[in-house]
Amino acid sequence: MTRHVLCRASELPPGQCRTFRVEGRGVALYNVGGEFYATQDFCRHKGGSLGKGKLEGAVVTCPLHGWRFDVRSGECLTMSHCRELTRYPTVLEAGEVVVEV
Amino acid sequence: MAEAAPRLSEEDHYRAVAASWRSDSKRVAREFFVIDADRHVIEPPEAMTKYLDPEFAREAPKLVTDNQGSPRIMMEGRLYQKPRGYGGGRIEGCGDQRPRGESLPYEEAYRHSMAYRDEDMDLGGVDVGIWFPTMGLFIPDILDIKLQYALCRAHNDWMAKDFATSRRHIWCASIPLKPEWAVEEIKRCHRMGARTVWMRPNVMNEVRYWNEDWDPVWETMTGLGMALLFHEATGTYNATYSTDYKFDKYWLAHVVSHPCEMATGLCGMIGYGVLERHPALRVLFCEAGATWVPYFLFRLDEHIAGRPRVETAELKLNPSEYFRRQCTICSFEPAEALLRETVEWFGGRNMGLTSDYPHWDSSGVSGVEMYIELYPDMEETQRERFFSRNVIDALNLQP
Repeated sequence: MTRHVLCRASELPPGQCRTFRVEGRGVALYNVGGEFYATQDFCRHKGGSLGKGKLEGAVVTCPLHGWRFDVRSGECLTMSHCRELTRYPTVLEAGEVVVEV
Repeated sequence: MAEAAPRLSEEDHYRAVAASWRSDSKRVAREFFVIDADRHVIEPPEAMTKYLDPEFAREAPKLVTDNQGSPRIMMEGRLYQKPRGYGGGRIEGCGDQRPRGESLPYEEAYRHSMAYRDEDMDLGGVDVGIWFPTMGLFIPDILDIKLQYALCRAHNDWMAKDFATSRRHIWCASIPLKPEWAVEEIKRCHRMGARTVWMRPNVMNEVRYWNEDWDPVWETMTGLGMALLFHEATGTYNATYSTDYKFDKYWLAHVVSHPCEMATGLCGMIGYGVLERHPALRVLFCEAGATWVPYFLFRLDEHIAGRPRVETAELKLNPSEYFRRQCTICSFEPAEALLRETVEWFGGRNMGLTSDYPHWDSSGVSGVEMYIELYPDMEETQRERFFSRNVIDALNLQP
């Protein structure tokens, strides 16, 4: 696992999400009421960018076909047999969001 | 006397094909050679009129707006996709195409389709695409067989002359549902560069293509080295087994029509001995998912074993053996239940990557990266087979 600074915390207000490229892969970062969570960016359905999705509470909705995931656990709320999203640990350091990938 | 060129090993052959067909402009997944076996052109209205024989000018397809405000194509006085009723199509008509994820109206979509077809392949990591029609998927619905043939010729001319401008665009020829005319059109399209022929898997206008009157078509295709690709389309006027007269909800018709129509096509091609009589014919089944295939092959094998031999005398192999020898599934959903078991059941063979770009239910430009990221533990040989090698075999691509 390597650590990467994604952005300053102030650049991603609560209720918003965004996609970053980290070591060649997409990472979606979410601000859930001041808590930061990161998952794989690709939706497990057909690869929509979750970082471009709609975040409501802790649930992100994929912009492609509307699949929903709990960004805290990675659990898919649309399909019971769907594998969880890969999650990446995040920490706040000196006002910056750091992710371990 | 000239010496024969040394025969390449299987590995060297695949590498030579990849080197020959690879695109230098790809931006992602450059380490892989990738063939997308199901991409769609969004045709502009002129695609079926620009090269239409003048004698059919009065019957040329017309772009119209239905009374719900959705764009549709009118042919023979009927709207496509069928706007409502049993077996009806999408309420948005030709609209809602999603080349890069965002929904585009029809006019923007066909302009994007032409202008960015290569750039979208580059963004998605695709070297070569096999291109199907979208509006043209409904040509087999045309009742007047002369008009149907004329529209096939017009559409094929447009694909060859206006759309397929490089080796990255392997286009599928449209054929009329009359075997002798289909043979002529296949030969003509081959001369124009086509390597594949597409058909609907349905019984369209009472044509059962698995009967022996279609053997000249398969003989022509195998003689020319052309593969057959089946592709279903929901929203038809024909009496299909799975949707017409059953469902008047599009989403439900779409759920059922793709795999069920494809399953009957598969059973017909195997059960009526087409693959036995034409062992060189290669058949690809697109946009229907994958996990139904082991189920139906099991049923076919199981029934062959249990029924009197006189009923199945034309088959020398088990149905699943014909499939493994000659068929490829070019569609599956990454999240499809029992997908891993299905891939293992096929030993990594008989399956190819598809995106269905840019239709509403496609993976847009994200497909290749998505497979790399979602299946990081896929064994390397299996990944190569899935990304290109199974389709190289099916299309008999050469360097």
